Amino acid sequence: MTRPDVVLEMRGITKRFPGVLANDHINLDLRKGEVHALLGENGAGKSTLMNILYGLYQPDAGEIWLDGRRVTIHSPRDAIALGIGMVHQHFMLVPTLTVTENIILGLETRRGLLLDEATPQQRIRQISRDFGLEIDPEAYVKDLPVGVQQRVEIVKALYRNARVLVLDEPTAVLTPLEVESLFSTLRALVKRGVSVIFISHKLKEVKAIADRITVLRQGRVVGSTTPAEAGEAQLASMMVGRPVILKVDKSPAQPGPVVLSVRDVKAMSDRRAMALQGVSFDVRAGEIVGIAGVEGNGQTELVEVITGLRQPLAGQVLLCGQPLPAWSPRAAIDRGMSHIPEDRYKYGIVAAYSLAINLVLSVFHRPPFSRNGLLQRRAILSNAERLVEEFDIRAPHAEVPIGKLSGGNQQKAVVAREFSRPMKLLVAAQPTRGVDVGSIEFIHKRIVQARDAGAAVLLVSAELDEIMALSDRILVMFGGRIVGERDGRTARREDIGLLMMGKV
Amino acid sequence: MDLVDVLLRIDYVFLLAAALRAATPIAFAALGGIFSERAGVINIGLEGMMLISAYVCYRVAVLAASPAVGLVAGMAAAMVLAGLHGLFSIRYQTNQVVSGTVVNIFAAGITGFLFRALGAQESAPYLPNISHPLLKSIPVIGTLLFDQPLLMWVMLIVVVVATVVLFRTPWGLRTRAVGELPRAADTAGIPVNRMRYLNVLISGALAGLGGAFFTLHTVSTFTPLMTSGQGFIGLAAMIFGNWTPIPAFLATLLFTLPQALAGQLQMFGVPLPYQLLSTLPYLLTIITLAGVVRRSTPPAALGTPYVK
Ligand SMILES: Nc1ncnc2c1ncn2[C@@H]1O[C@H](COP(=O)(O)OP(=O)(O)O)[C@@H](O)[C@H]1O
Ligand SMILES: [Mg+2]
Repeated sequence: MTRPDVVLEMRGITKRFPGVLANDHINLDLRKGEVHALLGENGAGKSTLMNILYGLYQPDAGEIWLDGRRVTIHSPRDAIALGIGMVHQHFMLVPTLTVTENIILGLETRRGLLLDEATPQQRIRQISRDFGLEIDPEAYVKDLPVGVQQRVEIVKALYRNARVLVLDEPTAVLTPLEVESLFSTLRALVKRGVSVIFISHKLKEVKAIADRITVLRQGRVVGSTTPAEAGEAQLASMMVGRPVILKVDKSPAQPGPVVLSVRDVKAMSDRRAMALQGVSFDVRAGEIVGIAGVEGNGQTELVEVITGLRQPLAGQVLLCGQPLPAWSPRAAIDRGMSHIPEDRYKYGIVAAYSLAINLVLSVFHRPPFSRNGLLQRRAILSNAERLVEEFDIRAPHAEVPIGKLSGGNQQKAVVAREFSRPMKLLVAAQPTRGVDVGSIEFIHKRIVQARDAGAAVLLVSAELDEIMALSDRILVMFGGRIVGERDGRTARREDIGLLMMGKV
Repeated sequence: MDLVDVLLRIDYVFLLAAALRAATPIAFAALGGIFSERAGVINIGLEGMMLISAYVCYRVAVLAASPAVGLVAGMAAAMVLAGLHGLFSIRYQTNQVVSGTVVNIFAAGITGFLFRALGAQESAPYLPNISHPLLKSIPVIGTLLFDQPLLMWVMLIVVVVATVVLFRTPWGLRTRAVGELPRAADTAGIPVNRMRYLNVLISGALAGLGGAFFTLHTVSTFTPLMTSGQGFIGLAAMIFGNWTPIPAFLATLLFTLPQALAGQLQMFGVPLPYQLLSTLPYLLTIITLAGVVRRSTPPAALGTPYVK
């Protein structure tokens, strides 16, 4: 039926969720010992397809063939038994358990009635040596950085004798150096005959590691190619469905007076660890300062302190020379701060409220949106119409609950709201996370425009490419400190990557 | 006689022995809570499960003229309620606090009704004490352990067994995984909801043992609402003990020692308001729930039904 070197074939896979056709007759084949990249924008259906392969979802139609035999996969247990392993986008590791416990979970060996951890540990160490996946089997997962957690996930799959290994957006959480080491692990795996499905929406990486590339858009396969045949621009337009400009156009910055001044700020994280250990820097009018760093090195807390969402232990935040009262987002807003929050659902929008209301969330208490304590519906709606037009928010009408819109459109609404006030300082945290390429392009353009109009911009992003593309100055955070500063025009990726790992 | 004098004359071994006895049903509730909640299901229905077990134990023990048969029947009744709580919480994804409250109200209602309809004149046969004429006379240990209710012994054994099961067996590993990150357990091939059902049933069985203590050891009859909130105190002990058997057991003593002390003081005629002292466990419960809760870490998926 299938060619001998094809390990896995998915045929005509269709999966419908309420309101979305997540997978529409998808065909995919995987050859023995290849890295097959699955490329597509957020929401293209990549995870859904792989969750079907792993037995987490049942397809509405379609067949899966493994080694020339048709199989049905009802549960992850079946998938594991068939030699399919998956490293999920959000790691499936229990933080309160040790590395060993996580790896053997569901496949435990016993000594008498009790759990035997010694025997599995030997095997874990063996796998870890064979593939250069350095891990400590006795460490608790909650104490491990994400890069190491990912290695644990890969070892977990190999411990279950995976011959087909699926990695769902594995590089999203890694520093450039860690990406390199992941790639060399993948090469070692492939050499031993493991076949890899590598999911990503990052073109550079796909080109670097893949043997073949399948591009998905809106639930369909739009094409298959190889890195040699297709350039980045071509892949991008396959992903998006129209030509895209990958580079951000911007003129050199013309910094003015200092707008934001952060002075020796110290703060705790929610887990009561010292997240900021004394951070100081300035941002001037008309410049974009990018903060690079692996997530979890204090960026979240820094943004929260600046925007008044977190009480610092020590230090000061000055806006145009005046100290900002700690812990008062409204004071920050009133004095010209705009904020694109990192967690859109938690801080950016109220999902159940209409688009129109969400567009006035920070100013609804002021005229013209509220008079004599009553909301002015007409003013709110006409404001919405204007912003929908200006920011190209795709919505059926202004009163649809914002939660019903796609991530990209929700984010554009947040941007529209924050840009619709007079702005002295823009704090943009992960402004394009979970947003389609088209919207990324748009948001980037607006950020540069804000700068050119004289706003100071603080950009925090885990995407190094975004930082490199937009920033006039780059600060690197590691372990709650600023560990380096580079000029945006001359900074090198490798150099920033090293700083991100604390290697100064 | 002044207070210092009394305090010097109190028999503290005897006091601890009384506290241990009183801790028995509370510890069963705490242990039951640990199994259910470690698997991710909030169980505030323990009180009701204890109460129904107390009633069924009494009624069946009288009918069968056998405390053992009563005990088994009581546990079965508590497990039926636990099964319903599981069904609501796991299958129908009802709010688990609401479901547990329903269990409590139902148990209070049905046992109250049956009590009024059938009365409780006959006295039930007692479960035996574990008593040994020789061992009993060993100082300290003898008083603490060798003339004590059977179910107290069972409780102590369960504390040890639960510790081993939760932390040293595949079952425990899976239970904890299911309560922390069910999706991870699912992707590792573990049937999440089955694990949850079984652990909720275990919690019912343990609550059943706790309920039996009231009718088969303490008074040998049934009175309405006789569990008097001890299921809730058990939950407080569970939280105090950070969802871990041995610390939770020790916490139960924290709740029962004041009451045992009150008993002693009264015996010596110290004019302490007994009523005040006997509210101490409840007061401690409230303080625990309000204060210590913030410092303890419940299983991460506690209260969240698992949907794929
Ligand atoms: N469990 C689910 N319920 C409803 N819709 C879903 C579910 N999972 C994914 N979707 C939808 O299916 C589409 C594809 O999602 P996904 O497979 O996660 O995309 P990708 O991994 O390519 O970013 C999206 O529109 C998403 O909102
Ligand atoms: Mg995905």
